[in-house]
Amino acid sequence: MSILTRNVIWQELKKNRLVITPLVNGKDEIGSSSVDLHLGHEFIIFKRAKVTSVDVMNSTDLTRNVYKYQEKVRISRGQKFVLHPHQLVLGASIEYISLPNDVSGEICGRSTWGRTGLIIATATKVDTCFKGCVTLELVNEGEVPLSLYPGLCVAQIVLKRTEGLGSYKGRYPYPTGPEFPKLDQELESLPKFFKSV
Amino acid sequence: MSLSSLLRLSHQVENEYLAFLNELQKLEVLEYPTLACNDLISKLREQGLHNKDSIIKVREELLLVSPPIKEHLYRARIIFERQKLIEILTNFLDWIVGAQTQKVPWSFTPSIESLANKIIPDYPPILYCKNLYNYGIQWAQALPGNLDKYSFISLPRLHRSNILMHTLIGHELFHPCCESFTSKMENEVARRITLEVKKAFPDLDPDDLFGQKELGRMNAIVMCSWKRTLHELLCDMFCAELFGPAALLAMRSYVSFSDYKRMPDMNNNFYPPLQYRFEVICQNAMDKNALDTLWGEKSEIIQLFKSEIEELSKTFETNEGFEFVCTDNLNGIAYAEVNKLISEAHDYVISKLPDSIPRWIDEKALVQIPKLLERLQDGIPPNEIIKIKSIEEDDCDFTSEPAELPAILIAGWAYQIYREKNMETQDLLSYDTLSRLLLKACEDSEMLKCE
Repeated sequence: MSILTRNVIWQELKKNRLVITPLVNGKDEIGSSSVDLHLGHEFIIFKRAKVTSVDVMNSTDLTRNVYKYQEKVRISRGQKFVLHPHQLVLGASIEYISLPNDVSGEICGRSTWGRTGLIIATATKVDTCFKGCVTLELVNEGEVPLSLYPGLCVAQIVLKRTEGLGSYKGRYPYPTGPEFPKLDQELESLPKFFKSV
Repeated sequence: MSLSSLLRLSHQVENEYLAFLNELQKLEVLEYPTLACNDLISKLREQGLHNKDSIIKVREELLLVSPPIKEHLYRARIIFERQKLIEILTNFLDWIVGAQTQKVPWSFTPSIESLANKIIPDYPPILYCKNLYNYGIQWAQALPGNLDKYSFISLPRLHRSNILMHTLIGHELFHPCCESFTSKMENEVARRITLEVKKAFPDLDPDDLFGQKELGRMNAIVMCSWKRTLHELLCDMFCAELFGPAALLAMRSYVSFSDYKRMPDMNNNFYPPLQYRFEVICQNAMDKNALDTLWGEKSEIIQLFKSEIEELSKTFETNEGFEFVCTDNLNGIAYAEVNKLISEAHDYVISKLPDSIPRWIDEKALVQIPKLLERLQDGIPPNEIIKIKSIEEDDCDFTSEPAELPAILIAGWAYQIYREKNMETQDLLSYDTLSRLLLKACEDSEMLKCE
């Protein structure tokens, strides 16, 4: 696996094998070995008072009552979203990404934000052939609330050439914003042995 | 009515105003995709406070006045203040509730605002969804004082994210511009219509009271039919001039369950028959040169789109709609007058389209459509056209052209037609995914235009 540098990223973009759109910050968005990702307008927040627990064994209930446990909010340009200490919300990048079958990605935080305690992703791997806006699992690990604004550059994606070709078999095809977790599918993938207790 | 009854009434109205202000307070903290909503809420609060003070003033006067009290006058004043609330102000609450970010296609709002600002700059649009399968617009008319500065565009709630059908907003946006066209010629047309109605009903004597009344009634019906039809046609042609084939397909999709030949009458508010409306659009507002340019692209998807549009246009090459409506005496008179004005109406529509409004016939849009379609086929939002000219060691020369709204919608419709014909055999985007990609494209392109 090798990391794609700026020049190679541009070459891939030119050939249309790789798509990153829109480039909100023009060519400055492509760094020496990464691409900047900006925070989008939408967030998914958990309604803590309504969630008893996230229980995969009871995931049908979670999926059916998705709006009972979670809420999608949209923050307009210039408005802030306050992320409180130890709060988890889902956000997404403004950038829509389409990866070719020999490039995968890894989402990384930016050190400036890291120093404030902001974690931007826990599931950091982006599969080959993924198409969509990258979901960011935002957690404030610091002690003070953080004001987040749409358009802030909070993350970056490092692109890596894979050995061999891959395809995308994820559960979240073509997301254009953060998506509610599909926990019912998690149960389906539980090995048979563990299901039949 | 006694003094105590009047006081009780005034208290009830005051309480209703307090409840209204309380509702506004709750609405104020919600999210809206446009600042116009917050602006409207503050104006409503001002109005509500003002009216509540008026009621308090009435009560204070009542307590001071020495008997005998002119009860009917005070009662009328209290009722007047109440009517303003019940008949006018409370309507706004429903509109604002339906205009919340979560309830409207918020990604589409900036595109509609940008379009509306150029067409009806005096009425900033507020989009809201309601539980009716209907698109509509309300503006200035019947809105009090400083509340007449908005237009309220309603969308069918179950189609909130159905951006392809929202092409029809182009039709709604032109409604506030129609009156100035029909009012210019109203007198002249009324004169001709009076003569025609008289000719059609020779048994009715205009000198006889009954005959005079009947002829007057029929003149009014014909005028209503004439005006309503022209207004709808002006809006149809405007939408078609903006969005071309997308307008045609959106309209076909919207009226899928409707009767194409329904006679206009008072029950349907003289809504013109769809057959006739399609005929007018196809025969007058679909630019043949632009279509030829679009069909020049030889991709399978564009050629399939071409055959769909050509087949649809062929259906409306006839005058079947006009002939149908003429089977009714009064509508026949109205539509004969409408037909005389089609060309003038079309010119009026064009005159209301400044260069700053992107149209589907613009070269830029026509060039963009096939490229945006390619993006959709790859599962990418059709939001921009990127050209990378050269790549140096550590630099790159590239340009990004934001997609134009008509091009996004036409590319979306072309993909949808392809989808309909091939979804059984190919792995294509679902309608929901297609809608989301198009919504994302609209939002992104507006953002890119601002930069």
